[in-house]
Amino acid sequence: MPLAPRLMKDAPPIGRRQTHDEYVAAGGYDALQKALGMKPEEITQQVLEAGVRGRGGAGFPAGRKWTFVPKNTGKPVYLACNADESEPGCFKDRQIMERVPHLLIEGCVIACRAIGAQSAFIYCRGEYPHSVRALEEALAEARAAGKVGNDVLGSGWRCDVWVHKGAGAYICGEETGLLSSIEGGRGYPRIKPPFPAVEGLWGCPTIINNVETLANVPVIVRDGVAAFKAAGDDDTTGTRLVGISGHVERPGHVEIDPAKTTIRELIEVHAGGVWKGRKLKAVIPGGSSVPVLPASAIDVPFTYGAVRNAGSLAGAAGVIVMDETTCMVDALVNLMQFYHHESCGQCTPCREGTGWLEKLVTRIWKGEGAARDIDLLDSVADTIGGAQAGKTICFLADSAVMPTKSFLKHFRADFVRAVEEGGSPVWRARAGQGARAAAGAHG
Amino acid sequence: MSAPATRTAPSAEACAAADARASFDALRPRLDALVARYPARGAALLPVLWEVQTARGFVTPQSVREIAAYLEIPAAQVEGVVTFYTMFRDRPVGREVVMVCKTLSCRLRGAQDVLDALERKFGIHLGETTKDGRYTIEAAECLGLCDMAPCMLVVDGERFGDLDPEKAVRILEERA
Repeated sequence: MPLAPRLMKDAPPIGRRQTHDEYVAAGGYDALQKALGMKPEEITQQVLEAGVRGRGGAGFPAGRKWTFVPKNTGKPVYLACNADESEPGCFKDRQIMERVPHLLIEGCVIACRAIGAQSAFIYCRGEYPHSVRALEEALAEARAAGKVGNDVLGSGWRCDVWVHKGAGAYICGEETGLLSSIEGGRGYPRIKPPFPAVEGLWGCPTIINNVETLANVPVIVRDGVAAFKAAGDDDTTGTRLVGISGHVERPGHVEIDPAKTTIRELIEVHAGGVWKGRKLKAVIPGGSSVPVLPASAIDVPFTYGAVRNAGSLAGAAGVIVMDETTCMVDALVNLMQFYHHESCGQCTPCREGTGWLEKLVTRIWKGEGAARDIDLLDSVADTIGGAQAGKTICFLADSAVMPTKSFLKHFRADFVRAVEEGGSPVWRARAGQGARAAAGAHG
Repeated sequence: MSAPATRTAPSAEACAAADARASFDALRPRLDALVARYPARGAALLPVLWEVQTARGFVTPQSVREIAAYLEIPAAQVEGVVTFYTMFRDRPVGREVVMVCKTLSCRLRGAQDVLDALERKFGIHLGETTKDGRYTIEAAECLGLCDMAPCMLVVDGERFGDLDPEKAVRILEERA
């Protein structure tokens, strides 16, 4: 379980941003200098061999994605950095943007060099004004120092990096929704194929990578493939930045060697354990969209493969911890409100289905549900996604289905109790106080 | 994205006052610099909306027309984008908007008590503006500050974490 900080190795304390000069003093932008002396395909080859997988949740190998850019189309190529970190429970990319933004900027410029792009857009969510500011300030420094702009490090090569600020829409974190938003539209996801690497921004080849993925690129180029692969295993190479929140003593983030750190250690060692001396009930390991795990399933390393074998996904590494007092019906109402609110409305199964999920679980929460509503909830989930995934343009419906199915699988007793005892204990307490719960508000 | 419950049009006075806060021509130099970043004018819509909204308080019907003409896109696209994104406003709001996170990591640590306390203290429902016009307070989906849960964001200024009902009320009352 030894710590292996790389991304956050030279990060200043929370609340302070590493300046350009501090970054350079710590060896920053050396990788860019090195990359400019390499052929673009050599850079891609290194990232490919390093095996770094997408840190935004899907886990697709970044180097492989880069090879999908078609050659000699005569069109410009674009890089889009997905900084729309909106998955409930995830806040790791914020640490990079606010504390070591130059690492991300260097990663963007090297990635542009590799894929043949001269413009990168960092799509940062509107709810992160501090991250936007940190990136803007760092970009101004990088431009003044010739790391970004018309003549990168005196090479004569031009590379622009801009921040594109979102305005509050989870769906813009879906890669094609993100493209729609950069183009000035509603954040509507698009049907694939064509994949963005072939037809993305303005119909041109576009590579979309997560913040942490791109932040790993300078590390790979600077230290080499072998050093990068010293952390992790064959399946999950490199370190992972993990956020831990919910019912723990010390919510926060930590950079780990995923092969040497279990979910239990994340909670008990890095987050000080379950709060108030209570017992653990459930853990959502990868952000709210992945299946929940019972307390018995947490003795697994935080690699993609191990967490998948345990029945969930490492996803975007947002670990949400729930203690023994948690009513899982209440937690699921909260998540279904989220997905219903964030459905973009294009596809009927998602637009209507997430609403149905919210209504059904709310009915059970309020003590108005019957036993058959639990099965109906399960059935609606199956109808809009899950085992029958692929009925919608994007993954949002499935993101609502995974928690629903897994909550029912592991914590059905909570739902049965809510039906039999007149609602969730949370609702009953609120109704007892005469709060607005009685009028149907959940919060 | 679900629309707000109340969709009454803003008054003519409120729109005129907002438009008077900044003329579109005065904003043009900043907007031109934003447009230059993109290969297509329409792509600057989100950054342009941020600029106009920040200058005027909310996106008025006149703003929609001016932005559409400026970016050479249909007014319907501008309006469609404004209503899609929760942080764009087509109705007057308080001088500051307070987004209080309601999503799971915050709910697990008492966000509901914070939301209840703010409603009680300021005598408003979530989504409404305080009587003095200072704050619009609303429940927000995950703000990505789960390590600071329960948390709130005063757009586009400060963020506050480890809230409890008293602390949240005190922060908003004592802000200069």
